[in-house]
Amino acid sequence: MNALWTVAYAAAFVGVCAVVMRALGRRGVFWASAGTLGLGWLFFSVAFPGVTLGSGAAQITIPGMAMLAMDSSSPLPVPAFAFWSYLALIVAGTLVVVSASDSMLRDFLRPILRLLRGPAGTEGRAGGAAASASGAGTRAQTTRILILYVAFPALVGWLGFSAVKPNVAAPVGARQAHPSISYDEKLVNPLRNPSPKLLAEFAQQEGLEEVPREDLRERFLETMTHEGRFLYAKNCSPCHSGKADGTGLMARALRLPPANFTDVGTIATLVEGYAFKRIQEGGIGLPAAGTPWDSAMPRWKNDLTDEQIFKILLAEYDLAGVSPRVPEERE
Amino acid sequence: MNGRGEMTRSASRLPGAISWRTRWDVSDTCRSLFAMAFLLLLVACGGGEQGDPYELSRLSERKRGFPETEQAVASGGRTYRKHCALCHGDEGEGNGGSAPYLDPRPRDFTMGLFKFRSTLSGELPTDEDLFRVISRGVPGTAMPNWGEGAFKLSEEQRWEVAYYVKRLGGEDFEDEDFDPYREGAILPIPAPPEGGPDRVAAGREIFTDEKRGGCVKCHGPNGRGNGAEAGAQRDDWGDVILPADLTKSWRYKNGDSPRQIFRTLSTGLSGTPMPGYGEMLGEEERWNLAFFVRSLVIEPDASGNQVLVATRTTEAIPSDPSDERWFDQQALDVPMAGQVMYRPRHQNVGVDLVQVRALYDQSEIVFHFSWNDRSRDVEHRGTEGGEPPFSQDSPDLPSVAEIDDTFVPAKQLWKRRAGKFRDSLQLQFPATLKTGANKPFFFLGGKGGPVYLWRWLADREASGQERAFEERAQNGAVKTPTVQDADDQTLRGKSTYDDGRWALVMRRPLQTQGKKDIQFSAGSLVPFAVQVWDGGNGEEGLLCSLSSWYYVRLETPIPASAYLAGAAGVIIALLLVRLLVFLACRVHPEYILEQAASSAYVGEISGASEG
Repeated sequence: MNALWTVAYAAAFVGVCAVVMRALGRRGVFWASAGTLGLGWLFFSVAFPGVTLGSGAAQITIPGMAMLAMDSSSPLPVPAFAFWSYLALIVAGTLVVVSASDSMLRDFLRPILRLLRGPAGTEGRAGGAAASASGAGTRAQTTRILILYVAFPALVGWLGFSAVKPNVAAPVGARQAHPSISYDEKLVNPLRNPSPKLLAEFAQQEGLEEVPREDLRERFLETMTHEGRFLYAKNCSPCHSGKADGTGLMARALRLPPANFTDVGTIATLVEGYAFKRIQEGGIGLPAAGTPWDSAMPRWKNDLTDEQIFKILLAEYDLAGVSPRVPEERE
Repeated sequence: MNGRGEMTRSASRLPGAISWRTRWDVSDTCRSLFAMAFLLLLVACGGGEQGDPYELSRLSERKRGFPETEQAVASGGRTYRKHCALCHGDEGEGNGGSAPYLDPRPRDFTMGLFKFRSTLSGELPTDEDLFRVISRGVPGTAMPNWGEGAFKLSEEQRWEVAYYVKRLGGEDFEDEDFDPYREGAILPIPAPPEGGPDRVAAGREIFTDEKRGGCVKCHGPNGRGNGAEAGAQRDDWGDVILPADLTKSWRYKNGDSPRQIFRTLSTGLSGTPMPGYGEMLGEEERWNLAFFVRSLVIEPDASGNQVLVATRTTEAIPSDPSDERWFDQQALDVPMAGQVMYRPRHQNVGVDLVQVRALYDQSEIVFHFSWNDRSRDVEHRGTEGGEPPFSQDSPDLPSVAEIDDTFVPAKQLWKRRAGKFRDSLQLQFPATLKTGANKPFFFLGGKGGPVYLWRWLADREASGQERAFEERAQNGAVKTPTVQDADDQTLRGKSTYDDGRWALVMRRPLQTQGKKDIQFSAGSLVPFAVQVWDGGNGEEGLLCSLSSWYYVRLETPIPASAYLAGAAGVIIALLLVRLLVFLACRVHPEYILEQAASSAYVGEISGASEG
């Protein structure tokens, strides 16, 4: 349902873009470019992250796509660095398109030059004075003066003011969800593909010597997964939840939310060796890019054996209904 | 000739402009998409307006689509084994992997006792009740909402699990009360009447009148779960059970709307000391009571606000923490989690929310904390300094050091509740302020540097000992903390306890001589975190509740430099405009202003000849 909502929102936004751009496209290249930038700004500051306006009782939240997709009740702001990078990309892209042909560039520059030179167009200052004799000319001239000598300086002044004025927002740190750490890429969960020796031991323990090989393997996997579920329930579910979606009882108080394993962006995109290492090292073992100071993930190598972690991994992927990424073959 | 007229004309005359339009006709497709999305939104909004989706009559309707066949039960069993057995156990005895560590424990389905029902006290629930609990979960416990959120079981799976769960009591019954196919008599839950102050006032009387509701005995006068009988009660399994704190919306296991509260009051919670008032109180009385209970609820702050604003004041800052002026200040809600990173880990915390406020004047910064705690614990038989973190407790109580397990079992914690441990709160700052989002590790530092701590101990303050308020430093949770030099101890404070709530004030000069202290000044943005120990919950050392990092901003009037920067911006912009206008009139780029009658961008770019 969340995915559906997000898609509906995105489609609605695309629709709004289409209507706006259609109207602006008619007015020429300059307005189409300005519209692109404006819509880009709207997307990255409102439509994607969502935004909260006002404070106290008069607070309203405009939802964003990310909030719908992540099922979050508060806005998920785009980090300032990413925000400005995207806007710079839009400006650069627009300039590339606009300068692709001479006439398009001319069409783009014309409104700007008209604005600077005044309503008389090619006739220069004297012509401007002559044109201002007519009523329409006066109105255009007034608008021009308002834009050039009032609105633009006011905007620049406000930017200068708000850059120096103390800001109440908390600093936003960009966080890499899967920072690079050293781990064994080739590591395979020994319980997922049990060796004949392991299977033989299991058969002996459980009194299953007569069971055919393929059935035995299945029995082995189910038994290990089930033991893993119990270990998961005890050690992981307080934060990651019995549903494996990161909404455990402790999650309410942790500002860096526990990982949602059912999300395609978490354990499903990782090879098991990486996930194993992350469980072993916990949050405090992360490099600075992973903002280790915010993560409540314990360093489990102090408290769980490798075998227990492998069982938990089996259960974790199974509960979330995803499978680990298979390590790529390298030359 | 004016600019506008020319522009309109040029746009319509240009073949290029026509191409633009042709291109933007793609938007017809977009428009239909937009219309579809709009329709979808309408449908979804319509769905949202239909009220409680788990209402009994509605569920009965839905249930018809999922008949209770043997196949369905078997399929429910498979889902149960994968998703439910980890807590409720393979045979439904409430003994899965997490069971010993949870409080309340996972439900034991073999006893035929179910808390959340539409039926009379002690009776079996309906299938719809089971489905509802599976779907919406039990707030404030480890039971997830399987029908909501990002990950869910399908409706079919949830009905199947409900059919399977009710059979876990066994198939052959001598006592017909336990026959799983028999449902209890349904207690009708009518539509709620209009609420209002009269109903709330009438409800308060029933709440406090021991002859009628008598709720106050367990839940306390203001519903903070601190009644006289709190702590002495057991459930039908012999487990210690505490009365609910009715002020916390996120701890209403059976729902916090007036109608849901009415249902809980009417049916009671089987297996617990919470009786059903369905036959003891009339319908009107129960509604009044429900509206009163609802009036106690505070909703948590959902804005995600992370910054506490310390207001600058010229008046004297109230030194009494129960002073009403403190409660007029805007508070920052700081939710608390269990300490789950180092042994002994624990998730059944005594304190799950602390409200923080702050004021400052020209010389001092003052923090104010308030939180609900069922008991005032001002004696301590644990280690005096609390260091090293887990050490010799009282000899007759399970020592936290002896708990050889990754988490503390709930039973061990209940035993420790009988002991004497003090209440305590610790405010944490980084030992050195860094730029950006960089901070030490959020629980007692270690990685990223040491932390600077303000600690309050209830027992020392109550007995008039020194250092009830103490400044310390620590560099990692399992490292021994250090105490700042005696000369540098400038922290002062005071606490009060009233009706299940602590209020605490901590004050320190903005600037100190201590080399290991941090210094505050107007405008500074300082990270802080909070740790709380509820002695009545057996908490001590690393058994505590903790928060993530938050920030406190010492509010300042807007400095003159900001106005200067604004003025400078205006002047620079004016000069720039003048320069541009001058250039634009001088360079005569006539070719730009000429009508590009024969040009067509699309043709030019693609190479096709249109003109």
